Amino acid sequence: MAEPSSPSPSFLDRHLDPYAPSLLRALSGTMAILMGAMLVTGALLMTTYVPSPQQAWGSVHYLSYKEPLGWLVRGVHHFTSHAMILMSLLYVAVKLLAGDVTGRRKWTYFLTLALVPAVLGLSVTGHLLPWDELGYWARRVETNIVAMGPAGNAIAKLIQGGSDWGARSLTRFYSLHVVLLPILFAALLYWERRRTREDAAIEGKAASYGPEQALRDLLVASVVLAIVIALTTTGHGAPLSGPADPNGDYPARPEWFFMSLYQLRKSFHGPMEFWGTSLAPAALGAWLVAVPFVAGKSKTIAIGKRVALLAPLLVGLVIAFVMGRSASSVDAADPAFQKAMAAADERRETAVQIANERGIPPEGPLTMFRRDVRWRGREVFRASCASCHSLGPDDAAQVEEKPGEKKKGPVAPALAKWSTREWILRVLHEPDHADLFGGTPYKGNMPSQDVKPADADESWTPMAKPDMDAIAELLFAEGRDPNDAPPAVVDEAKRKKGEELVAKRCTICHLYKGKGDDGSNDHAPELAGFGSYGWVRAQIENPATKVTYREKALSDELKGHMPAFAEELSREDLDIITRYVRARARGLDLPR
Amino acid sequence: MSKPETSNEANAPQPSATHADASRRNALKMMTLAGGVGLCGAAAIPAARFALEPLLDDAGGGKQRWVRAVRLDRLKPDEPTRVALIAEARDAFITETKELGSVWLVRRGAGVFCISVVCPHLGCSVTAKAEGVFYCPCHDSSFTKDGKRDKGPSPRDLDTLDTKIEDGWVLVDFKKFRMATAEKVAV
Repeated sequence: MAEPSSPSPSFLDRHLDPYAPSLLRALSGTMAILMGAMLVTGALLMTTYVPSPQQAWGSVHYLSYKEPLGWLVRGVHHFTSHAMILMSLLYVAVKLLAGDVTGRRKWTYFLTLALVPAVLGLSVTGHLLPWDELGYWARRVETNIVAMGPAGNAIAKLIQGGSDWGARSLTRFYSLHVVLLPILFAALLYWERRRTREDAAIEGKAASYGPEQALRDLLVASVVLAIVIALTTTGHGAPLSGPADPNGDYPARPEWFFMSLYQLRKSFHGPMEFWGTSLAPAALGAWLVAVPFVAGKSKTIAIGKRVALLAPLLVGLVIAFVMGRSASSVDAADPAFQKAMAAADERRETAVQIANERGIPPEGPLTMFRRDVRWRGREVFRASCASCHSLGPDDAAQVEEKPGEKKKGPVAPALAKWSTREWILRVLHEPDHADLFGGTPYKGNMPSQDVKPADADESWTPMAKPDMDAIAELLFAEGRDPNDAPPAVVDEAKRKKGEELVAKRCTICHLYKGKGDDGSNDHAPELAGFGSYGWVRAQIENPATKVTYREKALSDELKGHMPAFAEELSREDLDIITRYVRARARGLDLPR
Repeated sequence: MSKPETSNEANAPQPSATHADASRRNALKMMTLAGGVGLCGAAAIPAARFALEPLLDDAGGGKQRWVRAVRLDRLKPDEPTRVALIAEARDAFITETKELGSVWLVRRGAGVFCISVVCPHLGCSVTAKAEGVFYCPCHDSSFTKDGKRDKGPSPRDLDTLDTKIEDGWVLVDFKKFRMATAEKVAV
């Protein structure tokens, strides 16, 4: 470094003068410009956004995926808010490094400091507004943390607008976000900038906010906005997780700016949890407030002391960064978390897809999921059918296998390809296979049509292949529906032949269009309409009617037969599961 | 404007007139101040009452509410099943039939054991692990098969709910509880 006697002091010894035009001084001007960007994008977002749990997610989805340039407006608003957090912290750091904390500047510095919580408040309230899983769960957990502190329960009630999260939580956050906090922030920033200029004028420094400084402000703001737009375009705007489900099992994590606190909390349990988590950030905040009192009264502070005043903030930010990263890497190495996130991602993608293709009902995105045949069908299948039936690879019940316990196989027919020609041919050939009726009380009731039974006499002949094909054609045709896509293509001659064969050979046990010979064995199902919507729905609602498996289906003799679901599932779910199973089994399209 | 006092004051201020004027201005100032404070105060009381209204909210207040959950024969012995409880609920200005919440149901002997899925720590949903124990994915609290606190930050055991069986259906007395407290307080 330079000799002490040197005429011009070295860079480090020079008093950093933020009143001369400089890029560092541009931070407050940049915040003012970006605040303008926030007000404009915010007002534009408000032209579409609806603050209600039923419509918030849908309106944000519309902004992000449907409205031209909505993704850009929302992305700029989102990423600029993050830039504002960083800039407000950086601005405090610059003030400390410049030593602008003594005398009259002390009060200006407090205004500078107040910008940080104001910006954080805007970010925290803003993240809830999409009412998506990320924002909802982060705020809900944070409110519960607040509830652990002194007078916590009352404060939590005031935050969430009652004793539970709901519509009024969202409207309260909305009011804070679009009215109270912006006014507070704008007033603080205006006052802070005015005082900073007055401070300089009183000290006799060139305080004019001339084009020299304005140009620098604009330059820095342009650079920040360029980064914001780059982030926005790389990710198609701001992220939007799935619609919030208050009863879902989303693994809640906070946004990046609170990730370090999340990590910190892991070390404190029980009554220490609140204090352990809030002490470190509170201590840093207390230090920043105390700085002017520690700095003394001298107008100029030596560079060493200025660095010392700044050090706790820098150390705190570095520690926060490291802790945040470590929380992320713990999650990255946790298979349970990764699995939960994969499920959340699938849910988000599905929500976006349904909302894109069909739109969202007025009751909101949760109802949208409940009405979606593909999503709800799979849910109902997993919950109500998968303990006995299998269908597709994705339809198994979501239970973890117990270690060491052998998985119990399904006992009812596998429904993949059920009621297709291929499946019917298989039933004619080997009805008692484990994938067909081998695990059911019907085992042994139906003979194979082309394998000679052990007790058969000389007169037994196997059914000819063309006859079996004809029966398969008929039964496949019984299940077609005019609305099926792709439509079923049926060979009419073959079907006719099948009809004759069934009347001759199958109605000994089965019914066909209500007719059958029926001796003692009156529990083979009705074949008319087999595989159609009506047949499948009737079977699910109540198998013991003559439409499907007939009155004896639920008798003790056939214990283990499929139960009736008419009472257990809602009418909507009965419709959905019928359409779902038919479409999956018969390879039909399932529109959203 | 054209009153003599005013023109006197402007043209030839006399000591006594200035004094009288100053005291008049002071009185006006005091009145303005008092009026302003009074006006703000009058507005502030109902405004504060309005803003603090959520403090009085006690939601269900722990009132009994039996909700039909699932048919008993759908529950397998000792295997936790997650069931969403659907009923009509009011949320401020909206009343709709929706999921009130979810519970874990375990069939044990003749009865059904029921715990709320809401982790008493900070309110995430607990999942059932293969061994029948419960686990919260947010802050790693874990609980035994009976919902007793095992490891992690949860301040209390999982919240049990009353069940009864009617006509082959399991009914749950659904309640919500305050988070993050050692004692179980219905809200």
